Amino acid sequence: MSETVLVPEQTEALPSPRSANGLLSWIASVDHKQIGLMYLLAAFAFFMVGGLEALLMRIQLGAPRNSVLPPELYNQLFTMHGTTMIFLAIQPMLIGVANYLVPLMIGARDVAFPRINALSLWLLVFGGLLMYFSFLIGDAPSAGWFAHAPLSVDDFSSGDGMDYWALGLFIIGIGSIVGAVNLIVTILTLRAPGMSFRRMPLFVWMTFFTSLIILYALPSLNATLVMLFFDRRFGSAFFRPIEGGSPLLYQHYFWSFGHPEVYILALPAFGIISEVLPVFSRKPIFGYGFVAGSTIVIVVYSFAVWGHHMWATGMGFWADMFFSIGTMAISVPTGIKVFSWVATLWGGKLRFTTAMLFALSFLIQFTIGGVTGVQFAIVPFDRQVTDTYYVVAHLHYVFVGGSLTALFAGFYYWFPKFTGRMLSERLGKWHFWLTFIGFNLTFFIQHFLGLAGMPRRYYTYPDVPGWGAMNLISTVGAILLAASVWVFIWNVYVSFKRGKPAGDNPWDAYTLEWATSSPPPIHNFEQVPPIRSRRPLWDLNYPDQADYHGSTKHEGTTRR
Amino acid sequence: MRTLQAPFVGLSDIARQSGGTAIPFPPIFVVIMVIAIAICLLIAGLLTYAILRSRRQTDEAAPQQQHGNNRLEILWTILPVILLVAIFIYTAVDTGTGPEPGAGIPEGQAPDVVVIGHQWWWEYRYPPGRLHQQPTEIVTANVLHIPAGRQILVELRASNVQHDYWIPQLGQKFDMYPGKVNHLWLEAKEPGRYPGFCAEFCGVQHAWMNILAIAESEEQFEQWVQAQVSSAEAPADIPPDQAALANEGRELFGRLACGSCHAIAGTEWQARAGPSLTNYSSRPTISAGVLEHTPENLALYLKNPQAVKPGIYMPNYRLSDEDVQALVAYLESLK
Repeated sequence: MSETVLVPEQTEALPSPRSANGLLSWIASVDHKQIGLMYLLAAFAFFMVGGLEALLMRIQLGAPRNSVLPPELYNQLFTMHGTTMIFLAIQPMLIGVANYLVPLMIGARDVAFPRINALSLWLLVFGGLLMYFSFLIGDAPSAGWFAHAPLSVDDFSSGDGMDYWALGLFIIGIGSIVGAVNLIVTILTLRAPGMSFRRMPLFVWMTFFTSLIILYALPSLNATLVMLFFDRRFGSAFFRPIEGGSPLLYQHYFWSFGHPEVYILALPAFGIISEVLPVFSRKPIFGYGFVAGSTIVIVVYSFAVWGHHMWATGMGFWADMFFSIGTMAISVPTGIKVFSWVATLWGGKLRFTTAMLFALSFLIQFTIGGVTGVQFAIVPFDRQVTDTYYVVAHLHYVFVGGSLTALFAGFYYWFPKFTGRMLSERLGKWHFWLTFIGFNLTFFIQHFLGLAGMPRRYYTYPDVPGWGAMNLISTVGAILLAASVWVFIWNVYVSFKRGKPAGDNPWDAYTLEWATSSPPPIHNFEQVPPIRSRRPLWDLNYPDQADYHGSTKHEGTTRR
Repeated sequence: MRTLQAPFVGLSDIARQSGGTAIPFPPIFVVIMVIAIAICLLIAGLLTYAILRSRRQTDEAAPQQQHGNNRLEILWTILPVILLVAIFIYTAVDTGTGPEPGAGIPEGQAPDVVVIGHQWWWEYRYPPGRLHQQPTEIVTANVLHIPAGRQILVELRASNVQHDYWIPQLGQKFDMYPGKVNHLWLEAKEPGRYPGFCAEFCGVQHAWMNILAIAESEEQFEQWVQAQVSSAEAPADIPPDQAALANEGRELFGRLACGSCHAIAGTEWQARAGPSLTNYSSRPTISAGVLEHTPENLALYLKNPQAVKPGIYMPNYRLSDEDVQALVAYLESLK
């Protein structure tokens, strides 16, 4: 009997950090763990570049009428800082963590489409490099990461920088979309026996929802980029008012992607926090069903709030009200999460590891960022503070105080799994406190700077009473924040070389990734433990208190 | 008017120094700030208590494995919803009443001032109407003059790229787009100087597209109107040697073709590409705030505009110091 074999059976092990350490074994890898780590490495490299750009800007802004940077360069820096941090740093870091952990958490051998996984990584890397190539040709994009038309069309950004920007982002966008498809299919089809939807770790749920948002939001960006590129290169007139195009159309297209993007950067962070807090509280997450279920509201509503970026454009009263109510509504599921996290801590036995400290600081910083976010739903308030440093403070509390802080929490938590070694807690605490103080010093004062009327995206500013002093404080904070990153790098380097061996489950954690060795073998699991509740390892280690006993009356875990 | 203005601390210092009054924060600002701070303090308080409580615990046993509490979870879903509904109603009422900025021009009304955003300066056109009854519109640049104590309807336009017109203490901010008309209401309660800004990124010199609004008494405003329409041909009350230099500057102005961009009322120069220089000596700032207006600063600016405000459309004419002095004398004679 003859059988056509379309895909030949794997005869030898795929490259992994264990089987081979050559560079090629990484570049050619289709292993989700290696790809996940490469995502983290690439994103961290871009993060360093984006951070350097931020530091240069902060130095320029340290004093009124400062002239360290020429205006054109400053505008290029803030354009590339925003673009880099959003598309090349935070988002790929979160995707990288998801890449590494989702298959492990659901007891799978790999993602559904390993080759597509490699494709999305390399599209990210080369898309980012293409964008940065614009610096080498001497014309980096300078129309802002949002690139509002008509400033971004060729009449006003005549160099090639904007074209590099549009093409680079387009390529990254394709990578994100196929990556999202991959994660969705993985989660839907590759769960181990027993891993029902109601038992999935919250990080997996959040990755699933994030991927849904990516799937619907990124095509909107890519379509916008194509139209912008056509306007610039082929004389179309989607956004060029001179030929009847509409600048506001651009904003609607862009922000209908742009606001969902905020949740793309926030939901995986929620997932990380929902894993770290319970483990270091010795309790399960409080209100699993509400935390996971309410996220559906975020997914749906994230597409109905973009107009709150446009209240100064003249959309009309009813459109304003539509987006106002949506913006307020979307804060409810986020509020549910914050309350659930606090309740998870409540009465727990807290272990103040570095991961936990980052997670705790996330809670307070993200609350501040969230609360100022709801304030923008109040139209007359928004029309005063929008495009001032109040917004800069808000968005950094969400992305740095929120997403990046959660990433650090996750990194300290999962580094033992990634490498088999513990990160130094002593250096970790230095890193944490420097980050915490540096971050809040940099950005808390910017709320007041905004309320003192300073607009964003100014390469310099007149000597208005108070502005100079507040900017200087912010700059000092930024220098501390930059220093904290070097403590982190040193910690990773030292711990990777000679950190304490971790063992399989150093934190006494609950989820499946801790059931295998650290780092996991190429095939992830020798044997997947029985999954009879949301916390298979807790059940295994504490059989008398196991979740599946139904010792608690709460719905959810006890149902099988 | 209710929530149009906000104090913006550092800026109100400037206004106060020039005789303006400090505006209190509008009620909706106060309400949402109090709510926001209360929520942050609530979360911080709960967090601190949970941490302290855990530190007091000493026994080794695992804590009670509580998975949730439906009643509590419903409570912290419903309570925020109620709070947000209340805030939304407040927002809707506040946004829907009173003179709001928006698209187009309110029906049956004519704008008092038309503001056109250029890269990187403001053009003001006062059509004959409520503010003045001159036969033609008054054109000026960068410095807005308005009578205090009156609601001013401003028409917002842009020449080529987007801008946003924002004088924090006089009104909300609102965008300007080429091919679109928006409107904004401004009101200065007291005479004084009110700083403002371009608040939508508009290119390389976005930072130096500042606004200076001068609110005046009705009489002063009328004087200003008269100064705009009087002829620039006969510079009065300046010493003869200055007058000679100014005449030299006028000739140079023509020879350098400055008039192909700039307009001066009462002369043959009526171009609109650059800011109007009519009555230039009365402007407190140079080129939308980049420098304070003194003869020395003006000389510095004319010597090389690209060094003072890099990237603007005014080229560096590489003028000799003598030529610069002549131009300064001419511009300062425009009263």
